Amino acid sequence: MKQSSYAWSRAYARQAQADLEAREALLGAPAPACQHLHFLQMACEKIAKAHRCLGGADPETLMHGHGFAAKVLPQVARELLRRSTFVADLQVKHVGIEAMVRQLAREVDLLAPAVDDDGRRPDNCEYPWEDAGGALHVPAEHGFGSLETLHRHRAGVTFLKIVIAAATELGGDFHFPS
Amino acid sequence: MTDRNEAGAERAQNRPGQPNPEDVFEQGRLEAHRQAVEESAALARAHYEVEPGLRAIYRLESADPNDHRIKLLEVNEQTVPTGIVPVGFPAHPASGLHYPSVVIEVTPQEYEAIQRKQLNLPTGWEVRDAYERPAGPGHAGGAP
Repeated sequence: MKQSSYAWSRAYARQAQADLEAREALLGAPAPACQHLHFLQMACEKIAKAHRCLGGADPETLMHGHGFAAKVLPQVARELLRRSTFVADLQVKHVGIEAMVRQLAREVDLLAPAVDDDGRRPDNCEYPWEDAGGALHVPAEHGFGSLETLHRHRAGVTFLKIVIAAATELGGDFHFPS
Repeated sequence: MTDRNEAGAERAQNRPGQPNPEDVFEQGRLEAHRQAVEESAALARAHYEVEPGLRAIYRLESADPNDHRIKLLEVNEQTVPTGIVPVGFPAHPASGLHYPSVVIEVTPQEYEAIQRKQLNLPTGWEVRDAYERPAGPGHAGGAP
Protein backbone atom coordinates (compact mmCIF):
# COMPACT_ATOMS: atom_id res chain seq x y z
CA MET A 1 0.00 0.00 0.00
CA LYS A 2 1.40 3.36 -0.98
CA GLN A 3 1.51 5.81 1.87
CA SER A 4 -0.31 9.12 1.63
CA SER A 5 1.35 12.44 0.87
CA TYR A 6 0.49 13.49 4.40
CA ALA A 7 2.28 10.48 5.89
CA TRP A 8 5.37 11.13 3.77
CA SER A 9 5.32 14.81 4.69
CA ARG A 10 5.16 13.96 8.36
CA ALA A 11 7.97 11.42 7.96
CA TYR A 12 10.27 13.95 6.30
CA ALA A 13 9.48 16.51 8.98
CA ARG A 14 10.11 14.05 11.80
CA GLN A 15 13.54 13.36 10.37
CA ALA A 16 14.13 17.11 10.08
CA GLN A 17 13.30 17.41 13.78
CA ALA A 18 15.92 14.75 14.52
CA ASP A 19 18.49 16.73 12.51
CA LEU A 20 17.64 19.87 14.49
CA GLU A 21 17.92 17.97 17.76
CA ALA A 22 21.36 16.73 16.72
CA ARG A 23 22.36 20.32 15.90
CA GLU A 24 21.06 21.39 19.30
CA ALA A 25 23.06 18.66 21.04
CA LEU A 26 26.21 19.92 19.34
CA LEU A 27 25.82 23.53 20.49
CA GLY A 28 27.78 23.05 23.68
CA ALA A 29 30.50 20.97 22.05
CA PRO A 30 33.69 22.26 20.42
CA ALA A 31 32.57 21.18 16.96
CA PRO A 32 33.56 23.04 13.80
CA ALA A 33 30.92 25.21 12.12
CA CYS A 34 30.51 22.77 9.24
CA GLN A 35 28.99 20.18 11.57
CA HIS A 36 26.34 22.51 12.96
CA LEU A 37 25.59 23.69 9.45
CA HIS A 38 25.42 20.19 8.06
CA PHE A 39 22.56 19.35 10.40
CA LEU A 40 20.87 22.66 9.61
CA GLN A 41 21.18 22.04 5.86
CA MET A 42 19.76 18.53 6.16
CA ALA A 43 16.88 19.76 8.31
CA CYS A 44 16.00 22.56 5.86
CA GLU A 45 16.09 20.14 2.94
CA LYS A 46 13.72 17.72 4.65
CA ILE A 47 11.34 20.48 5.75
CA ALA A 48 11.21 21.67 2.16
CA LYS A 49 10.47 18.13 0.99
CA ALA A 50 7.80 17.72 3.66
CA HIS A 51 6.15 20.90 2.45
CA ARG A 52 6.32 19.80 -1.19
CA CYS A 53 4.83 16.40 -0.35
CA LEU A 54 1.77 18.20 0.95
CA GLY A 55 1.63 20.03 -2.37
CA GLY A 56 1.43 16.75 -4.28
CA ALA A 57 5.06 16.10 -5.25
CA ASP A 58 6.15 12.47 -5.50
CA PRO A 59 7.97 11.65 -2.24
CA GLU A 60 10.37 9.16 -3.74
CA THR A 61 11.38 11.47 -6.56
CA LEU A 62 11.96 14.21 -4.01
CA MET A 63 14.33 11.99 -2.07
CA HIS A 64 17.16 12.52 -4.51
CA GLY A 65 16.65 16.25 -5.05
CA HIS A 66 18.45 19.13 -3.34
CA GLY A 67 18.14 22.87 -3.09
CA PHE A 68 14.46 23.39 -2.28
CA ALA A 69 14.76 25.43 0.89
CA ALA A 70 15.09 28.80 -0.84
CA LYS A 71 11.73 28.25 -2.51
CA VAL A 72 9.85 26.70 0.37
CA LEU A 73 10.98 28.50 3.54
CA PRO A 74 9.82 31.95 2.34
CA GLN A 75 6.42 30.35 1.68
CA VAL A 76 6.41 29.01 5.23
CA ALA A 77 7.24 32.50 6.52
CA ARG A 78 4.39 33.95 4.46
CA GLU A 79 2.02 31.31 5.80
CA LEU A 80 2.96 32.05 9.40
CA LEU A 81 2.36 35.76 8.82
CA ARG A 82 -0.92 35.21 7.04
CA ARG A 83 -2.20 32.87 9.68
CA SER A 84 -1.26 35.12 12.56
CA THR A 85 -3.00 38.08 10.99
CA PHE A 86 -6.08 35.95 10.41
CA VAL A 87 -6.21 34.29 13.80
CA ALA A 88 -4.97 36.90 16.18
CA ASP A 89 -5.39 40.10 14.16
CA LEU A 90 -1.74 40.91 14.68
CA GLN A 91 -0.25 43.91 12.97
CA VAL A 92 3.15 42.48 12.22
CA LYS A 93 5.38 44.54 9.98
CA HIS A 94 6.87 41.96 7.70
CA VAL A 95 8.49 44.07 5.05
CA GLY A 96 11.44 42.14 3.72
CA ILE A 97 11.14 39.06 5.92
CA GLU A 98 10.46 36.73 3.00
CA ALA A 99 13.39 38.13 1.03
CA MET A 100 15.78 37.73 3.96
CA VAL A 101 14.58 34.20 4.62
CA ARG A 102 15.02 33.38 0.94
CA GLN A 103 18.57 34.75 0.94
CA LEU A 104 19.61 32.73 4.00
CA ALA A 105 17.83 29.62 2.76
CA ARG A 106 19.71 29.88 -0.54
CA GLU A 107 22.99 29.96 1.38
CA VAL A 108 21.86 26.88 3.31
CA ASP A 109 20.93 25.11 0.07
CA LEU A 110 24.45 25.80 -1.20
CA LEU A 111 25.91 23.88 1.75
CA ALA A 112 24.88 20.64 0.06
CA PRO A 113 27.71 19.28 -2.12
CA ALA A 114 25.23 18.67 -4.95
CA VAL A 115 24.23 22.35 -5.06
CA ASP A 116 27.14 24.45 -6.33
CA ASP A 117 25.57 27.22 -8.40
CA ASP A 118 27.00 25.84 -11.67
CA GLY A 119 30.44 25.41 -10.19
CA ARG A 120 30.66 28.92 -8.76
CA ARG A 121 30.07 27.73 -5.18
CA PRO A 122 31.95 24.50 -4.53
CA ASP A 123 32.09 25.29 -0.80
CA ASN A 124 29.98 22.83 1.16
CA CYS A 125 29.82 21.38 4.66
CA GLU A 126 30.59 17.72 3.86
CA TYR A 127 33.45 17.15 1.42
CA PRO A 128 36.77 18.84 0.64
CA TRP A 129 36.90 20.81 -2.60
CA GLU A 130 39.48 22.40 -4.82
CA ASP A 131 38.92 26.01 -5.79
CA ALA A 132 39.62 27.65 -9.14
CA GLY A 133 43.12 28.56 -8.01
CA GLY A 134 43.97 24.97 -7.16
CA ALA A 135 43.80 25.37 -3.37
CA LEU A 136 42.26 22.52 -1.41
CA HIS A 137 39.65 23.40 1.22
CA VAL A 138 38.44 21.30 4.15
CA PRO A 139 34.93 22.03 5.47
CA ALA A 140 36.08 21.60 9.08
CA GLU A 141 38.63 24.39 8.57
CA HIS A 142 36.47 26.64 6.41
CA GLY A 143 34.70 29.87 7.37
CA PHE A 144 31.09 29.87 6.24
CA GLY A 145 30.49 33.61 6.14
CA SER A 146 27.02 34.78 7.07
CA LEU A 147 25.88 31.30 8.08
CA GLU A 148 28.73 30.90 10.55
CA THR A 149 27.73 34.20 12.13
CA LEU A 150 24.00 33.64 11.90
CA HIS A 151 23.76 34.62 15.58
CA ARG A 152 24.43 38.24 14.59
CA HIS A 153 23.06 38.31 11.06
CA ARG A 154 19.92 40.25 10.15
CA ALA A 155 16.95 37.88 10.45
CA GLY A 156 19.22 35.05 11.56
CA VAL A 157 17.10 34.33 14.62
CA THR A 158 13.87 34.66 12.62
CA PHE A 159 15.21 32.26 10.00
CA LEU A 160 16.05 29.55 12.52
CA LYS A 161 12.77 30.11 14.33
CA ILE A 162 10.87 29.49 11.10
CA VAL A 163 12.88 26.32 10.45
CA ILE A 164 12.17 24.95 13.94
CA ALA A 165 8.49 25.94 13.89
CA ALA A 166 7.99 24.41 10.43
CA ALA A 167 9.61 21.12 11.44
CA THR A 168 7.50 20.99 14.57
CA GLU A 169 4.25 21.66 12.81
CA LEU A 170 4.85 19.50 9.74
CA GLY A 171 6.04 16.75 12.06
CA GLY A 172 2.64 16.61 13.63
CA ASP A 173 3.11 18.64 16.78
CA PHE A 174 0.67 21.38 15.96
CA HIS A 175 2.16 24.80 16.45
CA PHE A 176 -0.34 27.11 18.07
CA PRO A 177 -0.15 30.62 16.68
CA SER A 178 -0.25 33.24 19.36
CA MET B 1 29.85 38.48 47.08
CA THR B 2 32.38 40.27 49.30
CA ASP B 3 31.17 38.39 52.36
CA ARG B 4 31.47 35.11 50.53
CA ASN B 5 35.04 35.94 49.44
CA GLU B 6 35.99 36.93 52.97
CA ALA B 7 34.55 33.70 54.33
CA GLY B 8 36.51 31.76 51.75
CA ALA B 9 39.72 33.60 52.69
CA GLU B 10 39.21 32.65 56.31
CA ARG B 11 38.86 28.99 55.43
CA ALA B 12 41.95 29.17 53.23
CA GLN B 13 43.91 30.62 56.15
CA ASN B 14 42.95 27.61 58.21
CA ARG B 15 44.73 25.35 55.70
CA PRO B 16 47.72 27.27 54.35
CA GLY B 17 48.61 26.39 50.77
CA GLN B 18 45.45 24.40 50.20
CA PRO B 19 42.64 26.38 48.60
CA ASN B 20 39.21 25.16 49.47
CA PRO B 21 37.93 23.27 46.39
CA GLU B 22 34.42 24.56 46.99
CA ASP B 23 35.68 28.15 46.96
CA VAL B 24 37.65 27.55 43.80
CA PHE B 25 34.58 26.07 42.12
CA GLU B 26 32.38 28.91 43.30
CA GLN B 27 34.84 31.54 42.10
CA GLY B 28 34.98 29.85 38.70
CA ARG B 29 31.21 29.75 38.52
CA LEU B 30 30.90 33.42 39.44
CA GLU B 31 33.53 34.38 36.89
CA ALA B 32 31.76 32.38 34.19
CA HIS B 33 28.47 34.05 35.12
CA ARG B 34 30.06 37.51 34.99
CA GLN B 35 31.54 36.79 31.57
CA ALA B 36 28.23 35.41 30.26
CA VAL B 37 26.41 38.54 31.45
CA GLU B 38 28.97 40.76 29.68
CA GLU B 39 28.66 38.74 26.51
CA SER B 40 24.87 38.90 26.73
CA ALA B 41 25.08 42.69 26.63
CA ALA B 42 27.49 42.55 23.68
CA LEU B 43 25.20 40.22 21.73
CA ALA B 44 22.22 42.46 22.48
CA ARG B 45 24.14 45.46 21.11
CA ALA B 46 25.06 43.49 17.99
CA HIS B 47 21.42 42.57 17.43
CA TYR B 48 20.24 46.16 17.82
CA GLU B 49 22.75 47.13 15.13
CA VAL B 50 21.29 44.80 12.51
CA GLU B 51 17.62 44.47 13.43
CA PRO B 52 15.59 47.65 12.88
CA GLY B 53 12.42 46.06 14.23
CA LEU B 54 13.82 45.28 17.69
CA ARG B 55 11.87 47.08 20.38
CA ALA B 56 13.39 45.53 23.49
CA ILE B 57 15.89 42.91 24.58
CA TYR B 58 16.00 41.25 27.98
CA ARG B 59 18.53 38.92 29.51
CA LEU B 60 17.08 35.66 30.70
CA GLU B 61 18.41 33.49 33.49
CA SER B 62 17.58 29.88 34.19
CA ALA B 63 17.25 28.25 37.60
CA ASP B 64 20.42 26.22 37.02
CA PRO B 65 23.38 28.25 38.40
CA ASN B 66 25.74 26.30 36.15
CA ASP B 67 23.84 27.18 32.97
CA HIS B 68 26.09 29.84 31.51
CA ARG B 69 24.49 29.98 28.10
CA ILE B 70 23.74 33.50 26.91
CA LYS B 71 19.95 33.76 26.97
CA LEU B 72 18.03 36.65 25.45
CA LEU B 73 14.37 37.49 25.03
CA GLU B 74 13.95 39.79 22.03
CA VAL B 75 10.83 41.73 21.11
CA ASN B 76 10.88 42.26 17.36
CA GLU B 77 8.04 43.80 15.36
CA GLN B 78 9.59 42.48 12.15
CA THR B 79 9.37 38.78 12.80
CA VAL B 80 6.84 36.03 12.38
CA PRO B 81 4.77 34.93 15.37
CA THR B 82 5.56 31.37 16.38
CA GLY B 83 5.06 31.39 20.12
CA ILE B 84 8.02 30.51 22.32
CA VAL B 85 10.68 28.91 20.12
CA PRO B 86 14.15 28.99 21.71
CA VAL B 87 16.78 29.28 18.97
CA GLY B 88 20.25 28.05 19.84
CA PHE B 89 23.63 29.11 18.46
CA PRO B 90 27.07 27.67 19.15
CA ALA B 91 29.77 29.68 20.89
CA HIS B 92 31.74 31.87 18.51
CA PRO B 93 34.94 33.08 20.20
CA ALA B 94 35.97 35.02 17.09
CA SER B 95 33.06 37.38 17.70
CA GLY B 96 33.55 37.43 21.45
CA LEU B 97 31.00 34.80 22.43
CA HIS B 98 32.59 32.07 24.52
CA TYR B 99 29.32 30.41 25.48
CA PRO B 100 26.48 29.04 23.39
CA SER B 101 23.54 31.39 23.11
CA VAL B 102 19.79 30.94 23.08
CA VAL B 103 17.45 33.61 21.73
CA ILE B 104 13.69 33.67 22.15
CA GLU B 105 12.34 36.13 19.62
CA VAL B 106 8.73 37.24 19.93
CA THR B 107 6.46 39.83 18.39
CA PRO B 108 5.24 42.73 20.57
CA GLN B 109 1.86 40.99 20.82
CA GLU B 110 3.51 37.79 21.97
CA TYR B 111 5.49 39.74 24.54
CA GLU B 112 2.23 41.12 25.93
CA ALA B 113 0.97 37.54 26.11
CA ILE B 114 4.09 36.59 28.10
CA GLN B 115 3.38 39.43 30.51
CA ARG B 116 -0.22 38.24 30.85
CA LYS B 117 1.07 34.68 31.49
CA GLN B 118 -0.72 33.45 28.37
CA LEU B 119 2.62 32.44 26.86
CA ASN B 120 5.21 30.80 29.06
CA LEU B 121 8.97 31.01 28.93
CA PRO B 122 10.84 27.71 29.40
CA THR B 123 10.40 26.37 32.92
CA GLY B 124 12.61 28.15 35.42
CA TRP B 125 13.66 30.93 33.06
CA GLU B 126 13.17 34.47 34.31
CA VAL B 127 13.56 37.91 32.81
CA ARG B 128 16.49 39.87 34.24
CA ASP B 129 18.23 42.95 32.79
CA ALA B 130 16.71 45.05 30.03
CA TYR B 131 19.07 46.22 27.30
CA GLU B 132 18.23 49.56 25.75
CA ARG B 133 18.86 50.31 22.10
CA PRO B 134 22.15 52.26 21.91
CA ALA B 135 21.61 55.85 20.88
CA GLY B 136 23.15 57.44 17.85
CA PRO B 137 23.73 56.62 14.20
CA GLY B 138 24.78 53.16 13.15
CA HIS B 139 22.10 51.47 15.20
CA ALA B 140 19.29 50.30 12.97
CA GLY B 141 15.91 51.66 13.91
CA GLY B 142 17.13 54.54 16.07
CA ALA B 143 15.54 55.18 19.43
CA PRO B 144 12.68 52.86 20.40
